[in-house]
Amino acid sequence: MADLDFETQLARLYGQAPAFRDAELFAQQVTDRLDRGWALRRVLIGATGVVAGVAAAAQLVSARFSTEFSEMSHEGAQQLGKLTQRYDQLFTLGGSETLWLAVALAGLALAFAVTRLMDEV
Amino acid sequence: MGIERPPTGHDVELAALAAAGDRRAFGELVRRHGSAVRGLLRRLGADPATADDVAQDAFLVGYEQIAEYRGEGAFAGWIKKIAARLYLRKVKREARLVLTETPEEEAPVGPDGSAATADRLDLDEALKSLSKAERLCVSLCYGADWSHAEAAEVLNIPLGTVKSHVKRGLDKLRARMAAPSGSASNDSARRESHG
Repeated sequence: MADLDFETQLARLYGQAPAFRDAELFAQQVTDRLDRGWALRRVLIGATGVVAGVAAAAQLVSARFSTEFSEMSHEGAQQLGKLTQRYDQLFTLGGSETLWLAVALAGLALAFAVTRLMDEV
Repeated sequence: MGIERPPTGHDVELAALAAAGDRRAFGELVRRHGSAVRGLLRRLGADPATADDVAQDAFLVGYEQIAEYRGEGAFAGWIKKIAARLYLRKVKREARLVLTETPEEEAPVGPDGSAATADRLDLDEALKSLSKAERLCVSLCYGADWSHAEAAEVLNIPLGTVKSHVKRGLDKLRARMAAPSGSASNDSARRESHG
C-alpha cells in the first residue's frame, strides 16, 4: 500500500463489494418485490377493464329501463302488456345488439382478470 | 419443462434484456451488484436494515428506469448513484442529515498516527473514525463516484464545505490505514479537478 496512490487505493477498496452471507436472499427479495409489483399492475389493469365493462353494461340497461318507464308513464298502465313484450325483446339478439356486446365485453374483461389472477397464483 | 437458468452475459446485455421486460435478466444484475450497493449504503452511514431497504428500493427504481441505462458507464456505478440519491433523500426527509463544519467524535488512533495493523486495510473499520459528514462526503465521492460539485448540489451545501469534509476525511483515513504521507494534497487536487 505504501507505493500506491492513496486515492486510487481508496477507490479500489470502495470498489470491492463486501461479501454478504445473505446475498442470494437479498436478490430473491428484490425479484419477489418486482414480481409482486408486476402482478399487482396486471390485476389492476384487468380489474379496471371489468369495472369499465360493468359500468357500460349498467348504463345501457338503465337507459333501456328509463325509456321503458317514461313510456309507461305517458301511455298509462294499459301499455304494461306492451312494455313486458318490449322488455322481452331487450334480451333478444335482434333488438339489443349493443347490450349484448357490452355484456360480452364485460365477460371478456372478467375472463382476462381471472386468467391473470390464476397466472399469478 | 426444464430448470430455468439465469441469463448470462455482460451487464449491458442483461440491462437491455431487462429493458425489454425480462425480469430474470434484471434479477441476475441484482445478484451481481446487490452486495456492492448494500456495502456502499452502509459506508455512507446507513444502519444495516436501512441499507438493505434502500438498496432494494434502488433496484426497483433501477428496473423502472433501466431503459435510461445505455451502457455508457458501469452498471454498478449507475445503480450506486440511484441508491446514494435515495439514501440522501431518506435522511433529509427524516432530518437526520447534519453536515456541520465542526468534526464530531473521533475514534482513537494509535500513538504514531496509524491504526492497529489489523485495521490497515479495513476500510469499513477506518470509516468509523470519520464524522458523519466526512464519511458521507468521502463515500459519495469515492464510493459512488460523485464529483465534489454533484455532492454539494445534492447535499445542498457549499462546494467548499464538501471539499473540506473530503479533505479531513481523507486525512483521517490515511492515518487510520497507515497510508504513505504526502499524497493528501495530490488526492484533493485530483478530486477537485474531477469535480
